[in-house]
Amino acid sequence: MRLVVLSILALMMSAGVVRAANDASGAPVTLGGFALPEYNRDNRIQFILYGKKAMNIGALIELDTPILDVIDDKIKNVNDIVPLDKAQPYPLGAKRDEIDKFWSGKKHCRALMSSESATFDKAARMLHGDTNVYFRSREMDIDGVGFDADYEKKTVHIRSKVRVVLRPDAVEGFGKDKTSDDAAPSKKTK
Amino acid sequence: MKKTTSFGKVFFLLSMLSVLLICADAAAQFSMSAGGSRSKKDRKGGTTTITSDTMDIDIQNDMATFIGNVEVDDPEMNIKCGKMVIYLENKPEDKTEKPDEKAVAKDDGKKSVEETGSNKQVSRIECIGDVVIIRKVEAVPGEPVPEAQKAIAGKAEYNLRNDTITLTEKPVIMRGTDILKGERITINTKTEKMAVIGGTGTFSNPTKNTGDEEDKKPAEGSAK
Repeated sequence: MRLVVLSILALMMSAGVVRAANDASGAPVTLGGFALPEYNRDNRIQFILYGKKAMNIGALIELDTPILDVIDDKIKNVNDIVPLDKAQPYPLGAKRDEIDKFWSGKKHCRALMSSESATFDKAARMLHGDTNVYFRSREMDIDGVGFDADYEKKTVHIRSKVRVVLRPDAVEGFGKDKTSDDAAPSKKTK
Repeated sequence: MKKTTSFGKVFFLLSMLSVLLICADAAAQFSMSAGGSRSKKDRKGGTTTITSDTMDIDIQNDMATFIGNVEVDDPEMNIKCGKMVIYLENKPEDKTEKPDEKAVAKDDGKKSVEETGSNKQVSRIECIGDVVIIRKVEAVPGEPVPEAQKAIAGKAEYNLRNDTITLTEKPVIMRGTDILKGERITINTKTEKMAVIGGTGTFSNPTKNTGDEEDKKPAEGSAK
């Protein structure tokens, strides 16, 4: 009888262990001040996801004040990456000085996205948010409401109320080259 | 024979001259510089603001797609359309040092050049669906207020590489009572010359223009 009870207990415990192993989602845990790097198949770092607080719920991670640092593909040296967990995006339409100051020292960063809250789906490798989202890059700045970021495709979908400011440098780049190339032949009317 | 040949040459030259005048006049009337290189200094450092319902950013392919009630507020013009796609590409490497680059001392070889400016630039902009482009005109004191210029098309493509704007799908350009239509209208923002395929135009000043022009051959090769 004692042997039977012990066997039943052993079976119950092993079932629980197996279930946890098959779930592979980890136990619920809350982290503060975390940084989660993401790599591609070539083991090159693609993103770093920062957050003031994160709560793991199954395959999902609930994030508080997340910041997504998109790493530039040109970065070869990991020492060029500086932590951006405390980066505060400048407001849309900020002056040039403020923008330059923000991007100074962030050579590794291709773009920065922040929001008030978001959910990271570990299985799908996607980041979703329903609140205000702020996307900042050297070419353009974007504000919107709600977003879906795909880690695999490196795409971001902003759901509504999109407002973008396009930097003059991005549009005038050709102008700087063209003005020095006035000898370029242009087709004339005949 | 000699007289005929001379007359033929004169007639040919006159024909070419009239075509030149027509094209130059059309371009002068309907020039719509869309932030091209010629007017970049006049942009006064202004930024371009875009609003839309939704947006898709493709970081890997350097593309941004705006969908739904797209409105563009540029220092030189306003644009409305159903969908807009902006393509970015790498800026050509400049041998001269850029003013916004700050070289950092390499003591340990780990730090590299810091850049505050962007190494990307817009190469092409596509506007799709109910495209309306209104050029902003500024009144000059002492001169008559210039007439507003407006372009309507099903599709517009601004190619910054060759400074051309191509309007397709029933494009119409209007300035005051002057109207220019065609199957395809290509505008060079640098030279402000225009090429119209299958075009018809009505101008309010008959002494300056030749009136309706049908099936005019393109003055320049159409941009793609």
